[in-house]
This record gives sequence, C-alpha cells and structure tokens, in this order.
Amino acid sequence: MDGAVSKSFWAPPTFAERGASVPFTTPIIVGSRVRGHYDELELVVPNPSGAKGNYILGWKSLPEVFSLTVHDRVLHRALDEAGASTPEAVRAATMRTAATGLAGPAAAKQAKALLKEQEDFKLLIQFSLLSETVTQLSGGQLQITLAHVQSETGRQQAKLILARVAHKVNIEGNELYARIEAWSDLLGPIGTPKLTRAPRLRRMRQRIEEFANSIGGWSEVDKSEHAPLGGLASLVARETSALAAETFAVADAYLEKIDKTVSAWDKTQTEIADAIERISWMLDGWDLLVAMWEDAVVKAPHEQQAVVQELARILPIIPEEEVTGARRDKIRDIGVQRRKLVKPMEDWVTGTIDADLRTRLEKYKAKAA
Amino acid sequence: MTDVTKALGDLSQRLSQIPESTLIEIVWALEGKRAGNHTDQTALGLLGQFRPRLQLVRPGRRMSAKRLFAMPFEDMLTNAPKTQSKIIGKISRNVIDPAWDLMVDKLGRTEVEQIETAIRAMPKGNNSWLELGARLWPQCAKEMRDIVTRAEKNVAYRADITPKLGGPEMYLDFQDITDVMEIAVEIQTMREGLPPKPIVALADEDIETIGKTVMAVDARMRQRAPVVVYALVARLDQPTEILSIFVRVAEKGMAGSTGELASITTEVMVTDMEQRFEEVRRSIASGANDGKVTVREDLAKEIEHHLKGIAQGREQLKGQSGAAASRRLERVKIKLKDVVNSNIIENASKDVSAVLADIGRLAAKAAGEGDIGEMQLVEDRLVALQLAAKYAGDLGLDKELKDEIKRVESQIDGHTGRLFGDIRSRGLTVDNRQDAEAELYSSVRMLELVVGADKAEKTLVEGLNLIDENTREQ
Repeated sequence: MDGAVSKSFWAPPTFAERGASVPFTTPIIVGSRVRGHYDELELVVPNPSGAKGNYILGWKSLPEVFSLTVHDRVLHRALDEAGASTPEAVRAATMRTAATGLAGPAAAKQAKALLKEQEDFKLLIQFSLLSETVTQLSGGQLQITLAHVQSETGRQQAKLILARVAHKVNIEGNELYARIEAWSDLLGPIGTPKLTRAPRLRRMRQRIEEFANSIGGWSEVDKSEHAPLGGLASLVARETSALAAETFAVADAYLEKIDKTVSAWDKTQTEIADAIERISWMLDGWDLLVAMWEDAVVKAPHEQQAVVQELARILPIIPEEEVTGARRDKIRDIGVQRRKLVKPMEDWVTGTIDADLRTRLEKYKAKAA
Repeated sequence: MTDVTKALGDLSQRLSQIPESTLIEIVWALEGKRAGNHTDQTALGLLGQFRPRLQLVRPGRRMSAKRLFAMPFEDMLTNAPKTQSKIIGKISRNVIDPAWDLMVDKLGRTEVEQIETAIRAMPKGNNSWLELGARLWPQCAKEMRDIVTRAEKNVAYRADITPKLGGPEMYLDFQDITDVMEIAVEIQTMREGLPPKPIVALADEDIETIGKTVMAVDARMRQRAPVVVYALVARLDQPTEILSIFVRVAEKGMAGSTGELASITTEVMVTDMEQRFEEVRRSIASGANDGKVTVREDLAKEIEHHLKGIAQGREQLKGQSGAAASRRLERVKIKLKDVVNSNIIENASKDVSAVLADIGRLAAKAAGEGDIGEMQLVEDRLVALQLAAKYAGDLGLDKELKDEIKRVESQIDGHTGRLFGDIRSRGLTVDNRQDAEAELYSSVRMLELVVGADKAEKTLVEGLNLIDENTREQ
C-alpha cells in the first residue's frame, strides 16, 4: 500500500461513516465499504489483522493501490460515476456490473433474476397497497384486483375506485393514487407483511435470523478456539435482526392506518423513507456473511473454523451511535471481544489475486439477495 | 427420477425452517427405520437431504450394536472395491455387514438384543460409547480371534469362511478388524480425545492423548501397536503429518514402541497417500459428477493438497532409511503429474476454441441467460488451469502449462481481433450493440481467467470504446 492510505483508529460511529458494503471479488479488499466524504468517495478497508481501526483511501486511488479483478475495475468506475455511497445505490451498480458476466455466469444469472424480481415486486406491492387502501377506506365494501395494476386500462379503473373513497381522507382520487404509487415505490425493498413472498430486505432479515441460529448452534458443538467467534457472530446477527425487526414494525405501522398516512403524506413519506433506508443500512453487508456460512455448513470442521475467522473479521457490527442505552454498551462490548478473538487473515492479504479465493467470492455473489 | 427422489423435491430448501429439536427427532426416527434394513431408500434419501444440516447440528446419529462394533475402526474404512488387494491400514466398508452377521451368530441374539436395549436406554446426547463398547468389543475380539486362528490352521474352514466375508481380500480385512477389536477400548479412547476427522492441527493435549494411547497399548498388547498408527493416519488431513506427530510424542517421553515402528509408520503413510490418489483416480474414472460444474477446479485443489503432503513427507524421510518410501512418494507425484496434464492442461485450448466458435449462442449464457451449465464448465476449465499454475513447476509441467495458456490466449486474442475488425467495418446498430457487448464481456472474462486482469481490462476498454464509436442511431 502506498501513501494514499491512512489509518483510522476509531470504529465508525454512524452508518454513513461506516460506509456501504461493496461486494468486490478481489480477495484483499473483501468486506470493504464505500462512503461519501464531502464531494468525494472513500474506500474503507477492514484491518486485515482484525485489530481496531480501518484503512481509508481515496476512491480514485483504489486501482493503483490494489491489483483488482476486471469486475472490480468496472464496478469501481460505475460507483464513481454514480457517486454511490448508500446501500441502495451500491446495489444498483453492483447488479448492473454482475449482469455483464464479469464475475462469472452464476453471478450474472443471479443479478438478472434479482432485477426481474424487483420489477415483479413493484406490481405486487402496488396491488397490495391499493387493495389495502380501498378495503380500509371503504370499510370492506370495495375491492381491487391484480388486473387493476397490470394494464393502463386497469389502472384507470383503479383510479376510479380510489376516487370513490378519496373523500374519506379529503384528497382527490388522482392525488390519492399518486401517493399510493409513491408509497409503493418506497416499499420496494421491504414490501408489506401481507405479501406471501417477502421482498429482499425482509427476506434478508429472515436469513440473518437463520444465520444466528445456525452459527450459534455450531459454536456450541465446535470444540476449537474458533467456537467463541461463532457465538459472537450469532450474537451480532441476533442484535441486528432484533433492531431491524423494530424498524420493520415502524414502517409497517403506517399500513395499519392508511387514512392517517396518506392525509399527512408530506410528513409520513419522509418517515417511511427514513425507516426503510435505516433497515437497508442495518442489513447491509450481511449478504456476504450469510452466503459464506451457508456454503461452509456442508464443509469439514476445519474449513468451517476458517470461515468463522474470515467472517468475524468483516462482521457488520452496528455503529454505536445508531443505538442507545444498554444496546450501545452491548455493541461496544462485542467490538472489544471481536478484536480479542480475530486472527490476522494472511491468506487474504497477498498482493496478487488468488484464484481460489476469487472463485469463492464469485460463488458467494451468485447467492446474493 | 424415482418417486422417492421426486417426493423429496425441494425438501432441502425448506429444511432450514425445521427447528433443530424437531430435526434431531426426525433423524432419530429415520435411523430407527433404517436399522435392520441397509437399503431402505426412503430413509436413505431423506437422510441424504438432511445431510447439510445434519453436519451442522450434529445430532447423535442413532446408535446400533453394529455401529458400535464398527466405531473403533470407522476412520480406517475405505470404499475400495472388494477385489482390491489388501491395503495396509485400511478396512473395506464391504466387510462390516458379513463380519457383524458372524458376530451375531457367535455372540447370540440375546446378547446382541441386550446391547441394543442398553443402547436405547442411553440418554440422548450421550457423547461416549466406551462403557458399552467395553462390553461388546472384547467379546468380538475373542470370537474373531478364534475364527482367525481356526482359519489359519484349517484350510477347509478358511475356504468356508472366506466367501462368506466377501473374498480373500475381505478375509484379510477381517483379520485387521480382529486386531483393532483387541485394543478397541484404547483406540476409541484416543478417538474420543482427538478433534474430528480430518485433523489439521494437533494441540499439546492431543499429543498427550496419543502418547497415553501408545503407552496403554504397549502395556496391554504391545504387538498391536501398529493399529494405533493405522487409526491415527486415517484421521489426519495430511497423512505425512504422522512422522512429526510421533516426534512430538517422543519429546513428551511417551514414544513407547513407536520408535520401533518407523518402517510400518512410513509404509502406512505412503500407502495412505497412494490410496488418496487412487480415490482421485476412481472419481475421475467414474465420471460421476452429479451435475457438478467445478470438477476440474476441485481436482486442481485436491492435487495441490496432495502435493503439499508429499513434499512434507519427503522432507521428513530424508536420509538413507527413508529412501525407498521417498521414492514411492515420488511415484505418486509422477502419477499426479499425469492426472494434471491429461485432465487440467491438455485440451483446454481445444475447449476454449469450441466455445469461441459458438460464441454467438454462448455469450448470452455467459451473461447469465438460460442454462449456464456449458459456460460454467468452460470457466471450470480455466480456473483449474490457473490453480494448476501454482504447482505446475513442481510437477515439471511448467512448459506444458505455459504453452497451453499461450494457445488459449492467442485464440481469444484472435477472436476479439476479428470482433473488433467486424465492428470497425460494419458498424453496429442499437439493436445488435448488445450482442457485441455480450461477446466482448464473455471473451474478456475468459481472458482474465487465463492471463489476468490487466490484459483483459485493456481488451475490454478497447472494445467498449470501439462499440461506442461505431454504434449508429437508427
């Protein structure tokens, strides 16, 4: 590393300072994050030794400091062009890059499937929300069907139905429709609790919960020195899932009283957007860890132990300032424990791109959510 | 697809939703169903589906008297065919059933039933079977030794017993089991004290466990000391570690008879390396990859692992006494060289050439459209080539590998050259721009896998600029 690198000795206190996780396929920068710093982007690289602090370098210097895979060079440019420093913006660039096939056909297939799913969910969420609105405002007298969101004619009919109930909230039919549409767009990553299939962030929380159970169970049966790290990963996952569940409840609560939500839309839309953005920050970076563990579950014990070490180093512990009270103390304590337990990752920090490690990262990408 | 496999369907997908306690109950019930019926397809299929979580939750699989019988030698089991010549330190899985059937006859159904009852009475989550084993194993040892002694003296009896066990090689394995049974309590004590198979590293307390076993076997039945070596080598990730383990045991003053076992230890270690190679060879020959798309990649990694073991073994065998064994390890290495050459290096360029010839169809698959299996196999080829580069020099395949890589590189260069020429001369429309991009990305990806990112990126940038410059608005 050259002079572009400086070292920060404090743990990032907020999500924005921690940065958004970037699913690179170059092993040496696995678990790295991008964050905005004034008008520039920066890369935050977890300390390979597992010790406190991160390496921070200017975004533009990244290809000069590390020997990157072609996928990562393209992704680096895409993020730079988009000025992407939030999980959602990073995700959009990541999907586009993976869809080229530069991280292998499996990762491309998964990226395309996820992009399609995102489109499919748009309609489902819109339908769910319209249907709930009409049911609540008409006291169950009127109904919306899926056909009402599938064509222009259907949408016109839906607007007419909405117009019949809009007076209950003192809004014009068209305006009510526009608010519902905007709300549906916001709900894209989380959907509504009533959907039979959950969109990605709700699903991600579920996977983190399963991860917590699975790795927690492992840490109880594993007899090696790595077992406590499994327990720690489980604890962080459980905390993250619990915190996310609370925020999901906040976002979902607006669906209970649609009349109030749409009436005070100027205020509520910001609150809903904030809650969803917070969820996406909370769950950011877990994709890789869950995929790493799901892959390790069927491996031999010594391989599982190695994976636990790897994932503990990049464990997305919630930044302290994002929580309060006892939870903040608990998180601080988790950070201290991790530093004591994590060992340096010698395999991951060689200057050249190791084919085996790169292939593994691409496999995890093919399991992305 | 059988009805059973069909019915199992996507069960594995839903497994993660079953609570752990329920999963353990289900496994318990299935194992019960399977007991006494080795080929119950439904139970076997379901247990197969459960395997990923089984390894994680690790419920105590249902014990049976037969499983208890085989427990002390289970690390030594091999899948080699019945006709394979006797392998030192290994026991064929095929001999378990006939050997156990003989034991049931000799011990009597009542005793076996009583042991089964005692097993059922053990609390769930029980981690040690030593107590019950100490009841079963010595009885088996006595009965088996009687059989072996009689068979050695009486040709007619041996002729009678051998086919029952599955053939002459299985009879030799039966003799090995007899040896294990005679010190089964000591071996099982060692197994329970050591990390699970495959052992990658041993802590000081593990060395002590091994030392204690050596001393205990020496004290009770010194002539069975080789069994300790067999049991230990079979449990190691790298069999060649055994020599340094015995040095550590000796440093603790617990070497016992292991000092006299140098030649047998070397023999077992080398045989184990050869057998691991045979397993590789068998799996390649069977061609059964269960739809796996990382066959060559896995092979390349496995060979790297074996080579590390061989290097380690040869290092430890330096000196006159180890010369013969060292030569055998060298022969394994020569066989590995052939495997690498014929399965990883040769024909890689031919396969890439076939892909390039059909890139119009395959580029979309490389970008994740439709069935991507064909492209994954090409990737597997190229990743294996890259992995083999780590040790091609050690195998004396440096030139072969470099030449093959050069051929692949010039094929891809030739292809992108033609693509760029086409773009320049004919131009692109908005409609066919996407196809040109897909073709470019898939070529770049292949190029990166064989020669690295720097050259691949250069090709990508050149290609994308050309595409931009030569795309016409319609």
